[in-house]
Amino acid sequence: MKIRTKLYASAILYIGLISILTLLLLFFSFREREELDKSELVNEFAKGIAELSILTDEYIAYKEKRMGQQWQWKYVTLSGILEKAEELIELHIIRSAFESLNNSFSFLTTNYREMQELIRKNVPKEELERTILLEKRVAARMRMETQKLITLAFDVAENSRQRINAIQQRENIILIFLSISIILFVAAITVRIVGGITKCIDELIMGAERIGRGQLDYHIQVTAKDETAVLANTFNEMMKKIAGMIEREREYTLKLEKEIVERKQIQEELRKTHDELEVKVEERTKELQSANLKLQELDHLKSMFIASMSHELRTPINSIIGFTGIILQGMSGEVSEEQRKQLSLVKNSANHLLDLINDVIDISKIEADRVELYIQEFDLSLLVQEIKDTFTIALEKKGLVLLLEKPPMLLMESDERRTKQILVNFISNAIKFTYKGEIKITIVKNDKTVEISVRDSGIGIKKEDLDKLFNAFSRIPNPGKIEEGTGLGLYLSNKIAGLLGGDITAESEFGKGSVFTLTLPLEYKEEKV
Amino acid sequence: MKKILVIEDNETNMYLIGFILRKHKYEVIEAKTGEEGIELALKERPDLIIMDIQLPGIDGLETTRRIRESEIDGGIPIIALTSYAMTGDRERASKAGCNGYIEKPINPDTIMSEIKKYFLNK
Repeated sequence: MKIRTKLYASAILYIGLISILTLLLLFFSFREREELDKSELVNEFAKGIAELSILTDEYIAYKEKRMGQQWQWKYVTLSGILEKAEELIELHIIRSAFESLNNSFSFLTTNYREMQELIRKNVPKEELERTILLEKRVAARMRMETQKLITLAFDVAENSRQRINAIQQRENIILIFLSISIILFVAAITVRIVGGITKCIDELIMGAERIGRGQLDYHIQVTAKDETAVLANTFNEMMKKIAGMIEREREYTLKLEKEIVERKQIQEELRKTHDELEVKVEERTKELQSANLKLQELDHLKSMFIASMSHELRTPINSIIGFTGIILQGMSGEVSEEQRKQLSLVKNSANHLLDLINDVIDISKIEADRVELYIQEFDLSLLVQEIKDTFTIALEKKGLVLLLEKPPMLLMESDERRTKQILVNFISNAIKFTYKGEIKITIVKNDKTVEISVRDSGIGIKKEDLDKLFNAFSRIPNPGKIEEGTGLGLYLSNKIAGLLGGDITAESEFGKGSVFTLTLPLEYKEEKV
Repeated sequence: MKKILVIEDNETNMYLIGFILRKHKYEVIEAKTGEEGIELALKERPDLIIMDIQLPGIDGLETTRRIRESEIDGGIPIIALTSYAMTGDRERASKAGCNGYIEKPINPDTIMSEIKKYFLNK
């Protein structure tokens, strides 16, 4: 049975019980009222009898007709009361006594009329005395009767009152008993219903607590088949779902944990690898350091080698050049034309060899970043003039004219020697590849730079060869004559120009001539190196 | 006859320079080390000193500095013999107190005109 039904049923039961109790109370009070009415009527009747008794006495004393009438009226009233009372209770004794009272009073009035008649007829006194005596006797009896009636009436009233008390007592007992019974009954039912509900709720709570403690698969069993059972079922369904969710969650967590463990392992491995790597790196660093040290030593050895080579190689060549020069000058005696020619070849070859050595040494220095620059102020115009002068003989030999267009003075700050090296290279190239016409040197001063151009009317360079011009050992094929050269000149010049913060550009038209331009900053900037 | 002190360790070079100078009627005093050069310079009082920069022991620069320090009447021209490839020799030489330089290899065609420049200056 549903709790709702139970509660409704019990409520209806309670209302019914209270209604019965109320009806009983009403019934009891009605009965009491009846008894009270009885006693009141009897009381009233008793009082009326007492008044009637007084009226009787007054009539006997005065014998007035009016009084007799009054008596009669009173009697009728009392008779009415008695009738009313008789509807309620048996009053045979009182009724007969009351009726006999009326008979007595009738006899009294009749006796009085006889007496009046006798007086009027002037009957003897003895006769009259008999009536008087009779009258007295009747009056006495009447007094007795009224007295008796009053006693009877009061008795009846007393009885009635006693009955009321008895009834009341009985009623009270019944009421108390009934009330207690109802209370006990209600309590019993309430306890039963509440107990049933709380039992189910307790079962629910217990189940919830078990689940709360982690016993997720616990199935809540409810004995009743009411709403708590529905609740329990719903709860169980919910728990099934939650358990499923938790199971999935747990699986997921397990997966995650597994993953974490794997990651940690990977991390550990990584750390190991890292440590190993560090060790390896340290070893390698040490190896590298020692290798570097060796390299430094080697580099030092190389520098030493270059320095000593430059000295050792050049010294004998210098001797060759020097002595062939002396012989050619005729200082050591006469030299024949044939000898002169051959000695000149020796001298030129020695000079070429020296140039080659010098260029190789320069290149090795440049490539090792070991070039030392000596920056100072110098007059470029003067320098170019000096360079021009050194080529006088070479120009004469080839029948070329060297023109120089320059400002009277041009002070700049750079490496004079290196600048000279480049310009010498330019001019010697120009002389080498020019067979007729002129060579022109132009110096143009700009805001922050100076441009020195060497233009020749030589054989020129093909467009496809222009790019190769500044490569090391690139000898542009020269149809006809093969000129001596190291093949390093322009390569070196270009490198040196770069070191000095400038550059070299070349323009050429094949067959017509070339222009080489060196651009240098007027003031050398340190950071370029 | 002008006296020229040549300080040079290489015998071939010494012979070459000496030969050229003697041919041009100069008295040549030869020194093979810096110390010897200083000694001879103070003793002989040459009109010109030709100084090789690369010398064993104290080099040409140090020798020049010492001669300049000890010099009393001041100004014997000292010409440094520099090597082409040894960049900076020229600058270092002039700092040390040289009046000029001749670059190796010695060119018999031009060496005398170079030397004569310093006698003219005196």
